[in-house]
Amino acid sequence: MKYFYLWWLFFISCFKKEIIFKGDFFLKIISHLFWFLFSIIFFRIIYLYKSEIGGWNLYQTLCLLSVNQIIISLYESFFAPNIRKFQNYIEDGSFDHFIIKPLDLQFFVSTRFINFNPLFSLSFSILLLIYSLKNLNLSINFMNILIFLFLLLIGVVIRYIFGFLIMTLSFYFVRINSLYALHNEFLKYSGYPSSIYPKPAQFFFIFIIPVIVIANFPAMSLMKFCLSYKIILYSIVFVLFMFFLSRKFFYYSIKKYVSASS
Amino acid sequence: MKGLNKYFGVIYNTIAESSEFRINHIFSFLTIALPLIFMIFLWKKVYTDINVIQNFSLSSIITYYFLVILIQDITYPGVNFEIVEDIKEGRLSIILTKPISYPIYIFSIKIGVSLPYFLISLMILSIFLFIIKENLVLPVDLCMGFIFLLVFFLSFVLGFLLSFILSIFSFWIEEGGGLEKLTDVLIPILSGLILPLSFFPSFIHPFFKILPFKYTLNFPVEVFLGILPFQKILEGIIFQIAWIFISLLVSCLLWKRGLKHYKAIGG
Repeated sequence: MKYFYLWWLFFISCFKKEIIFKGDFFLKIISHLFWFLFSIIFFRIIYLYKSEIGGWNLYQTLCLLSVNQIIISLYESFFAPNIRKFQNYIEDGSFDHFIIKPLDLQFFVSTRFINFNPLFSLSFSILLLIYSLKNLNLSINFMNILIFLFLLLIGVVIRYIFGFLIMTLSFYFVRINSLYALHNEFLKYSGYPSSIYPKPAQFFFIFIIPVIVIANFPAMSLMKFCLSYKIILYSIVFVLFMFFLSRKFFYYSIKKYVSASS
Repeated sequence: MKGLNKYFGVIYNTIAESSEFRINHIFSFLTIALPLIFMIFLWKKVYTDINVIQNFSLSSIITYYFLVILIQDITYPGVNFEIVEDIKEGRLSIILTKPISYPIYIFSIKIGVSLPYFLISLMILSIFLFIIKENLVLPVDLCMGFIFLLVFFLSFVLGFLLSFILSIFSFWIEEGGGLEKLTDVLIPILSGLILPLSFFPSFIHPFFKILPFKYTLNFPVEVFLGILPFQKILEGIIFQIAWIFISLLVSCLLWKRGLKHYKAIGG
């Protein structure tokens, strides 16, 4: 409970800061959306020539794209601002401020800052999601939505864990930001239909680098591609295992930390 | 000719300098190139029961993305941050006091950066070659190869001039970011970075044809792939040269006006 309250305080403090710097608000939203716009245009045009790609029609793909964009937006607003700063904490020694507080370190380091801009673009993705679901003529009940939201949350947490794992490496290497950018760009492609991959690649993208788990699983559960409980169970086990692993690795790596300033 | 010697010096120094920071470039290039894997998977699926879309076979489309990724560092007409920072932080003043022309100086830097980066990119991309070797398209003959080199050179010059024009707008726009973000959205589409332009619905084609951005990426790559008839290639080259002249004029004009407006902040 204490952590919920703390998180709420972080939320308020970041929100207050955000209101002060209104600035080029509209342009910031566009820049958060532009990768999304590209993929919509991209698929919209491919589907001029084909009605299906690997069994996915246009609206199913749009649904998947918007689910992926929702995950990106949530990750970018709640976790990415913290994870991007991680490197600086260690470089200039401001990590000290985090260590001395009587709080769970991983929690504090990962949730302190919130960026509100991606949240505004969320409405756009949700609209597209509703639009594509409408065109798919699905009957979705409350249970479906609940499972979908749960898998969506897991998708966001997986993005967080991977970012966190990579940034933990900054205890060992000086410049880790470019590796972070690489992984970030790579995982953005989670919004491609899983059926385009041949079997070995599917295996790789489910069990090793979970590109398919992040966005395909929630979207597939929402569109009732498969309501197999294997998917849900696997996602839970995977996320718990990765979380445990990243946490262990983080606390192990802290021993490497030597404060930069006196 | 003697006046150009100093610029060769700049080129030489930049090559030496940019060869040093290899790791950074390798990562930033991989960031662009690695998603090629997704593209290949996707297009293979799209082409399962179609052979040709708008003159593009599966091999052409895969080679298209391969080449676009390879040459975009060189010809992509985006905002040049070096120029923007020079203007915004007042570093331009230092260069203006020297007996060199800033636009040619920046052009020499661009050449000096492009050469080593191109070689490194080529080396990294050759890792992909073993995945796509049966899908790689090469120019049909030597003659086409030479035409491609000519077109590629023209697109390099055009790309530089366009990015120069976009960048020196920062003489007037004090609050940064706006223009860059707008161009970040538009140019990838207009230049063919996202998709070959002939895939778009045909009513937009005349629009693409008139704008200069097509001639920096989409056109040279299509020439390489050999999917354009000779007449279209000739037409494209004429457009390229015309746009080079226009942007040369515009950039000279803007540069002179910009210098009058220049406040040398921090200088």
